[in-house]
Amino acid sequence: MRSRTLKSLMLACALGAGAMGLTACVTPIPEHVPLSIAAREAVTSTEVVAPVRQSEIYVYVAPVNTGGQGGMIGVLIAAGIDAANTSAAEEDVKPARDAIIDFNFDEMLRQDLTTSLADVGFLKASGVRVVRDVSAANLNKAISDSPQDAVLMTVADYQFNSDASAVTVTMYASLYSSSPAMDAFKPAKGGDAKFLYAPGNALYRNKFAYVVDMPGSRGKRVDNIAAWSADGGAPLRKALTEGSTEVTRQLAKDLPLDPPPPPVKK
Amino acid sequence: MSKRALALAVCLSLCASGVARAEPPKVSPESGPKAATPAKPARPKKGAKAFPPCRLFIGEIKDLRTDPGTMGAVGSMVYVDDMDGWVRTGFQRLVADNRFTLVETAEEAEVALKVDLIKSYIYAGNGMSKAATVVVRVHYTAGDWALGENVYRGGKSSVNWVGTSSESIGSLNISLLEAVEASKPDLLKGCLAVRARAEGQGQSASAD
Repeated sequence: MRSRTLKSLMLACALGAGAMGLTACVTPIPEHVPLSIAAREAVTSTEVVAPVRQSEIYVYVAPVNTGGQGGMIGVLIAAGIDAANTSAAEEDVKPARDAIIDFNFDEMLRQDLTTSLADVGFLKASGVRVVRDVSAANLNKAISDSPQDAVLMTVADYQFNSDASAVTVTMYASLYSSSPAMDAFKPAKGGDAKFLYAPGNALYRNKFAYVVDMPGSRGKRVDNIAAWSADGGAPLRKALTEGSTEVTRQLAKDLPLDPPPPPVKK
Repeated sequence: MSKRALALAVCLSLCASGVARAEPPKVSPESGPKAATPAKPARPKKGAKAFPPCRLFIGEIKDLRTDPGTMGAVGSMVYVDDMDGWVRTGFQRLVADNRFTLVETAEEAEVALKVDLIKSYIYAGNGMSKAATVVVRVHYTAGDWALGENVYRGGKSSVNWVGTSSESIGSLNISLLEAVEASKPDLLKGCLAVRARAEGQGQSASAD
């Protein structure tokens, strides 16, 4: 019985390793996929879905890279260092989190998206729906069950860099088909039938970022976070507000842009 | 060799997590911090006045989070079954401290607590790490007397081994208990204030 379990485990591992090997051969999907003019003209309605993955600001912690050194022991040591670094960052970021405990980034982003996308006429967007259950099943459902022609998914992130000398607000936007009419504009290659929100299924996608540097950065992370947190977190609130406005503005500006002309064959 | 070891580690993690993630983690009183045995009253030091345990009542618990249904994700989403019950299990652990005891009604209590859950989430950091956070606001009252309120934060960061339910729930439980622990100094101040007032009232009554 035990040997059968072991064999099953080994088989699962072998398949897993094989799958990992295969993924390395897949052509990477470009970060920016412009929306074709034909697709833009075909959209009759769009639902904007904003999956929210974070509850508070955090500090970016670079993962430890062992460079393949040390084998299994190296992996375990790296895991320990990652956890220790995360723990230190979580401790350092507390004053900033406490200073803006009443600040609702998600609601602000929702409002900014509503305002910005109202200017993108062809989308015919009907409000913004915030989704907090970001499980694969729920994101799939958001696309498959949408009553609209297309779903624009916007995933935002806001963070301090590792020394907290800057705040970055990032938004990943992807437009998916949720109707047979729009399916015609799905990319010919790289699609994924299982995960509807996979990048390869997007009719359009792009990434927008806005970085606010702290003037006169003090060098030490705790000191920088103290500066961001001063005056009830006013500098941090300002940075996040600007970031939300800016990334949604960039999205609204980018969506209607014509794709570049295809390269001329010689 | 080292690449093989890495692949094996990743593989085992994936396999184990595949097995462990059959059921998504759910937060409930059953998954909350284990009930504590009430602490024995402390023996007063020679010459010192005895400090009978402060009688506490845990009143209403409100979930003020924007999404009451989930608590973030480490691999799989953490869902919520009974938030009120879960938070309550954390505060019920106060009985493990011999300075406090819990009573059934607000009338019997010296200090009554109302708790707002402001944040409660877990996330997977870069590399193999995860971090959980619980933030509560506690309102203290003694009858009609509003003693005040304060916000307490608890957190737990650790290695994210395979993202199992017990790992996620365990980190959230530790965070909740840390927030409860942080409230103790204010609880004690509240109790002392209530007793000082009662003593003052007693003295003025006897003087009359």
